[in-house]
Amino acid sequence: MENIKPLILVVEDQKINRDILNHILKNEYNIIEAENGAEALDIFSKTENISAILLDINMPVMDGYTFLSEMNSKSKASVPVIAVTASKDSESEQKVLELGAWDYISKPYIPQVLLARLKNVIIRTKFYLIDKMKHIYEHDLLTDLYQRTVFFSESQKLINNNDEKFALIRLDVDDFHLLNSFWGEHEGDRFLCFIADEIRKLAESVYPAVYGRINADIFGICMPFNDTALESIRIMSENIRNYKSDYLIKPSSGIYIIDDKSIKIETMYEYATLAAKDCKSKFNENICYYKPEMQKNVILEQSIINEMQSALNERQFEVFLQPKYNLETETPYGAEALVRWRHPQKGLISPGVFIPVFERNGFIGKIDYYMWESVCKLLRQWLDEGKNPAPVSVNVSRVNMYNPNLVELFTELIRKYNLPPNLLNLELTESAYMQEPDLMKKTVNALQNAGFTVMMDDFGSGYSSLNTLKDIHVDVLKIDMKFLSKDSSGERGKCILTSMIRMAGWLGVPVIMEGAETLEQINFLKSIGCEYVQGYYFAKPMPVNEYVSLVSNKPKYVAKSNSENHDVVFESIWSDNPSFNLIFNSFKSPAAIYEQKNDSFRAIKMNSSFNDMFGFGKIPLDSEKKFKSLLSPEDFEKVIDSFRNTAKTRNESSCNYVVSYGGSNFKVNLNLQYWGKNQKSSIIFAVFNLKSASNDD
Amino acid sequence: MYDVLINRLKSMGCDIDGTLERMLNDKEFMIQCMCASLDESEYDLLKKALEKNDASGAFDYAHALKGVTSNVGLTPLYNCIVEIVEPLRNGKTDNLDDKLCELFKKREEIRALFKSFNL
Repeated sequence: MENIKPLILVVEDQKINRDILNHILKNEYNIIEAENGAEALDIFSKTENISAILLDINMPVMDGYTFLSEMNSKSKASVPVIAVTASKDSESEQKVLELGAWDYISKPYIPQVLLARLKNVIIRTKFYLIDKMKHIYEHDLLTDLYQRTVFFSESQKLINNNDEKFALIRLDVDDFHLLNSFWGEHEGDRFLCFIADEIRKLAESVYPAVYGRINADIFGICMPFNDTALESIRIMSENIRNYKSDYLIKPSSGIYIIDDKSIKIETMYEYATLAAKDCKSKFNENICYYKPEMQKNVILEQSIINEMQSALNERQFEVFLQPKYNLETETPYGAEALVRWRHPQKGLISPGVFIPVFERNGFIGKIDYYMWESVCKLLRQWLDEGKNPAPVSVNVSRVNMYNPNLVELFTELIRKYNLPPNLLNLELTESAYMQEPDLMKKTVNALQNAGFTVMMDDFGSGYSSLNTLKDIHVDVLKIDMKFLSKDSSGERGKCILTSMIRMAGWLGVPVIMEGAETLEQINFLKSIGCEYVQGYYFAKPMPVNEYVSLVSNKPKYVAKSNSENHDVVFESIWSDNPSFNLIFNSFKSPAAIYEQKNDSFRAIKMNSSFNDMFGFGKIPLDSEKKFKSLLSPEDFEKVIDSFRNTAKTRNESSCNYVVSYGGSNFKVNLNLQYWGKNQKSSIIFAVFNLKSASNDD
Repeated sequence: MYDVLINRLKSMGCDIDGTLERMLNDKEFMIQCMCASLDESEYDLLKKALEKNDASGAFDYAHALKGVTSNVGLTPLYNCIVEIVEPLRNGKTDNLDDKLCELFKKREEIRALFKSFNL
């Protein structure tokens, strides 16, 4: 290979001098010549590989001083300049050095000196460039922090050379890509530089520390760990969070406290990453610590993914059934089908372990269909055995709800197994309704038209539940008591549940309360008129054979409501029967339908006038308790007597009482009419005729 | 042939050893450079500048000639130039006529020498 000589730019106005320099240099260098500073600048800007410049000072057009200043303003400061001065001219020598020349020689040229100095500056440039390249290689271009590999190796050194307790921290900003698209890339980069500066500040306060940018918005810090350090991390997080007050910026710091220095630094970083992920799932947490179980979860998740398809092929997934109970009769009526994984080695795996994994990777779609078909087979088998099975509900995951062939899938299944569609109930989660309301509305309608019962699962867990109910007419609501977890025993939780049951009643939508686990909860649910429950209090999800023996040992009690024995009355009250509603609501006077049971009564439906007059939450005369609190003891007795009398005589009765409302006293004439009765309760129709007491007086 | 000429130049006071070293012992190249340097336009430009009392212009030309004469080793000329450059560096143009005459006279002497060798 040809040895390429370094290129020297000779800037000299005297041709003879250029010739002499050429003569001196030609054996070792390639020469490019310029007659003055201006020409040299032009050549300099167009030529990439100049190794050094020999620069005369006194030249026409542009002298050497000007050339040096101009050149310094460009970014090629790494090209060394040797100024050529006249002999014994220390003033110019000083000046050229100040202007950035690396060295100088004087005329007349002494070849050995010239060549030696030229060689020296070129070697120095190489060191300079190596230094510069090393910096570029080791540092991130945007933030000038260490890049990933250097951060890791420097962190390793830091940990090995110090006896203190260290931590490895992985910091990033949640949804940084969104901020980047809001702000534009330029502002996004500024934000990253801001984070880098915050990390530098943190590192200064916790010396010795190593820090770097791993990639994108991910940064790493390795530092001694103690209370002060933690406080510094908190301050840093707070500063990052406050970068722009009108944006929600959430930094997540995953911390791995290094208790075993023999672990590879990359593994420590993975641990910190797991901790940071944990942080992201918690809205209020900016800092999370690595825990060994996080690592176990990752391994577990991977093993689930590895085995899921073969498990499906080998039919390791099993149908478990959790009975739904009629609260009135406390007997099972139907069930929800739930998946269980019976692993040949690991035994029964809880759905809480594998369902979230399947939801993330989409495999849940296949599991859904497997469950639907298994339940259809089961129902077919029961029918073939001459049983009269109650409906079984199956879950429809979000991924399937957006499946345009969903309705066909179900209709084909019931055709294949020759089932009446009402035996297969479908549970759709509320959150899916909110994301695609129009699509969901169409899907729900189509499923209902095909004869299926559609249940809204997890009602109340989404934030727009009421709107959803307004727009999508589902057949049954399933409410999970757990959504009130902390407060379900408290008054507020009870109020919310009561209102939800009441509201569902007004809409004519039956409710199944899920997650009822204690007798106290059951008693409360009964007291607010809840009809169906599903929960551990009555039964856990169980294998199919257990369910079969459970339902066959108990008398079948096909229940729809606690007043189902007078079906006509009940249907009229609870159905969306327009003529009934028209008549009911056209009553000028406030009217309500009460259910009276065990000497207590509560409203199950009110007309518009009742709501206008009393307004829910104003003077809700919806239960005896409320009457008691608003009425004088004497008047309350009169009301109670009237209710008892009506139920007992199955006739009509009335009473008068006085109630305070809006600062005025009203005289009320209460007219009660008996409508129907079953074993335990009576339906009573009440009309309130109001007269202001002041008018009366 | 060059050796005779070189001896004559040496006897006139030229720095032959230093210049030959500079020219990497290339005698022909040295003679060529010496010869060519006598025709540099700066000699005439210096004369004109001094006639116009243009100290700055004269300094530039004298300075250039100082560099050239030192590089080509024409020490007699270099010595004259140095005496002109220094006053000009301080902006003084007076009393330089004699020195300029001497410079031109010595240049002609050297030129005559080269001519006698048909150069």
